[in-house]
Amino acid sequence: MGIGSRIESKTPNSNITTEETKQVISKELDVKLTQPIYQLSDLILPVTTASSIADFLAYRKHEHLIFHNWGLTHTHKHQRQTAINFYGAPGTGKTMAAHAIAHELNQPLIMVDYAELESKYVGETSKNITQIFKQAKEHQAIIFFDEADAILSRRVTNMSHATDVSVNQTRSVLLTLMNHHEGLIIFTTNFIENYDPAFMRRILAHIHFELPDLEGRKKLWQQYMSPRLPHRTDVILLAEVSNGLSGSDIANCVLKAAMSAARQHSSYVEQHHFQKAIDEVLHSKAANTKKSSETTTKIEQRIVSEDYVKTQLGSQTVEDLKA
Amino acid sequence: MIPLILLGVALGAGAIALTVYWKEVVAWLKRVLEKLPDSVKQNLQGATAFIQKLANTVKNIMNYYSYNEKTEKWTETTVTKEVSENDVPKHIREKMAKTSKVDITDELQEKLELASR
Repeated sequence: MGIGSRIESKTPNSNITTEETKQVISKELDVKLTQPIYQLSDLILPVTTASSIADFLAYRKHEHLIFHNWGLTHTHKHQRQTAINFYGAPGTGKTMAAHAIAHELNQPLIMVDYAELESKYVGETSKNITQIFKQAKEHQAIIFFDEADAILSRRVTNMSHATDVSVNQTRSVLLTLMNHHEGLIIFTTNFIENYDPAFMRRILAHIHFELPDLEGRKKLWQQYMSPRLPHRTDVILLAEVSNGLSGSDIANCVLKAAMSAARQHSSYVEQHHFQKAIDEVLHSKAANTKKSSETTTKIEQRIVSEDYVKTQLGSQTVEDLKA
Repeated sequence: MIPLILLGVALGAGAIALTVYWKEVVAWLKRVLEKLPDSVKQNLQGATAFIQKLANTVKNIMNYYSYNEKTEKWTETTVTKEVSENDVPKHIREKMAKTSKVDITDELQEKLELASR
């Protein structure tokens, strides 16, 4: 399995259903322990990303040495960050990496479900978060916040509604819990720029998940093209023309190309089937990027004095313009 | 100040020898110019450009100055767009480390002049 696949409906063994990999441990909040379903060897990542993950794992494995034997427990009482953040474009393998780390550390995951977490009652959401941390400690589980910008975004500074108070209270409780928690917390996001700086500071490592490079794309195409898929194409060529695609996009392209070939009753999935699928994804991504760019552009207008304009453009320039 | 004649360049700028960041800025200028209200476009006198970092957010800022002869009033139209800090050229990032708002007017003017050749 390559990077980028959504993991909810997949299991390492087709005979095991997703539900069987989960164990309900708190009925009030429906906190579930999830067994990791990917390993490090399943990941196809750029060298820098893989190296950052290896560094973090080394830190976790040598934690006892660093904090107990070398005495950093005393000098870094409040700086023992136990959180890691994966950020980057969608489909680049962040969720898979969380599973792989859990597998490597031989720990289950608690996948935080925001729908379960959020309560309409003020104060109840904070209680739910506290319950998650308590359960994680009891079961030696890794807490996993997927799409974490939903909960780590900036606190409201100009509070005008009761909900603003509740949002800030939730964030503050989470900050306090993170300060005292000794287990691992993994966050993933596509929007790291929305994180509150207080959370940024409490996270030990921020690992950027980049889109795959040429070599990565080659491996991903190989990974997703089943050995039984009859095709007449060159994987290196596919890797070259798919710059900008994520692992998830490549998986989709293989599926779409196969569907297209099957519909046309072709004996083989040809290069043009793949190319059409790649073009569609690239075009949709370009359109989406343009839309995002336009929506983030803000225009504000105000009447200003001539003196002000002189400070901005220079007195001489303004005089010249008026002449 | 970026003079009016160079702002017009952005509208016609095509494949030019600029780095990705400046290409995107010029493309953005083009889109923004097309969307500015007519009252601003018709009376446009010049513009300044900045890049600002607040907390973890980096923004490109364009200030357009227009003068309406009938009302004898100046208008400042500010257009902002968030950008990825990683995309900002290194020498500008170094300036941002010292001051939150960096004036990039002269540099943008150079790029527009380059685009006009």
